[in-house]
Amino acid sequence: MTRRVYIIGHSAITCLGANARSTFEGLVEGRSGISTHEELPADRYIQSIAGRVAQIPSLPEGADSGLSRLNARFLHLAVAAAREAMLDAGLDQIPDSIRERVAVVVGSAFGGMDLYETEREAASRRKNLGTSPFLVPGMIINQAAGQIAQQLQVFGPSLAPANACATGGYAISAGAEMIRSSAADLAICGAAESAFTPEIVNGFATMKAMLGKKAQDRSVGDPSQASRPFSIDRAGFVMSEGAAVLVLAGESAMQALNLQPQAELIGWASNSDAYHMAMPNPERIRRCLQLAMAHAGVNPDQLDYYNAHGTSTVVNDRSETEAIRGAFGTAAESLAVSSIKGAIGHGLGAASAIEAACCVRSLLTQTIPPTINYIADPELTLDYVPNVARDASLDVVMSASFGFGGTNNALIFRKV
Amino acid sequence: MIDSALLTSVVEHVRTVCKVSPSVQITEQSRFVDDLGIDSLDLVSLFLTIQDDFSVELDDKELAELKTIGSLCAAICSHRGVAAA
Repeated sequence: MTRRVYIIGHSAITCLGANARSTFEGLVEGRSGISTHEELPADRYIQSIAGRVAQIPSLPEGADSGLSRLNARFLHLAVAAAREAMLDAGLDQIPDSIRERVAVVVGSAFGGMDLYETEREAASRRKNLGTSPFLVPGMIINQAAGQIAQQLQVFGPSLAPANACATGGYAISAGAEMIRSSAADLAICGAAESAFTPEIVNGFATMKAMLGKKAQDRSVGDPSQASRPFSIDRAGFVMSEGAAVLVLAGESAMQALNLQPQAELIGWASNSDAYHMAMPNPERIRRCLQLAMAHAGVNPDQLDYYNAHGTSTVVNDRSETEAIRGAFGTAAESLAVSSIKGAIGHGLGAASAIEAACCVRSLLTQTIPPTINYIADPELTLDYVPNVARDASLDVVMSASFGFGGTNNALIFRKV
Repeated sequence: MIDSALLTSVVEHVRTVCKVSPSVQITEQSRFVDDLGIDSLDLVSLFLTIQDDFSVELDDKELAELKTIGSLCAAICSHRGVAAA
């Protein structure tokens, strides 16, 4: 019999809130976490409008174990998110008997590029080429999983997906596979990102994926309107940072540890565009959505809500709309589709993990967060849950994400 | 005898960079590894920070011979052209 996979804990640290609950409350209230940031000055950054985490929750007293040496922000976000998710699961104490059966699957698109930036500048001033011994351990993407394992003292397999903006989805899928195949009893899955180096920000702006500076843009007077998925005047994503973690468990572990399910992960799928380094392929995205539904054993008309990748770029939102129509057929007309990126921007590798955590909250609260800053585009005619949250009867919901390099992922959750 | 201001500054660097607990007493005679329990990565990081903040350049051979707080202070003085004692 196929092992079922449950979500028993979840977390999210975003520009809207220091945990999943406050983030989701902000989303439902239609608030934006996007603003102009002085630490992204115009002489170094093409764009200073962004979503930054106000304060990363600190570690408990005595819980450092080396993390404070590693000044890569994604690591601190990852560890804080993992701690919150474990607390949310009721696992503040992990039984010794299961420590070898706990996997950590936490990825990032960019890893410690902020640390690289800092250390590169410092090293370039030294004649002897001296470089911090913490540069390499702090930059590597799998250090997030390593630090979480070290903090929590869990000894199961660890993995660090790096799938651009689909990283979180891939991490959750990989963790689910570990549960399903009995490679682990619990899987701590998610992603973290903080990549505010000038070269990365300016690189995204130069390739026109990110919102650049425009004199007539509605973000000029109000930066909270910079990210506007599916809107007629969408003009690129707004970069943000954050982290989110889901704790997955198989049924037997959940019962043995007396843990409560919050939702079930009933299906997931990943595929490749094999098409372009950065442009999405609607046909392959459509196929990914269909594969996820087939894996979950659900029909398009059973989906109550689709949490979109919805980046606020001209190309993504059009391609995704086309893919949804292709995958859902006539059911697309009545499908609620929303993108939370209007409120929290694009967390890159962390985005799909944050969106997965929000899907869990949608199922728990029976609420769909809106697509804020929305002004209708006559070419995009799905129900994008414009500007105002919606109470709904939610049983099955999907979260989809797509990354540069042509990598796609879709997750399907069910209410328990 | 090490200049007390220099000693104080070096000790502050050791505490900050190597996260040595305030409850651990640090003196001129304290040995980095044996007394303060500083690991090799923290030690390298300390020496880099010291070189940056004190504008001195210590070669690998010198660094390998630095075992105590006092020897580090002396090396800083030597490179600044100031007598340590």
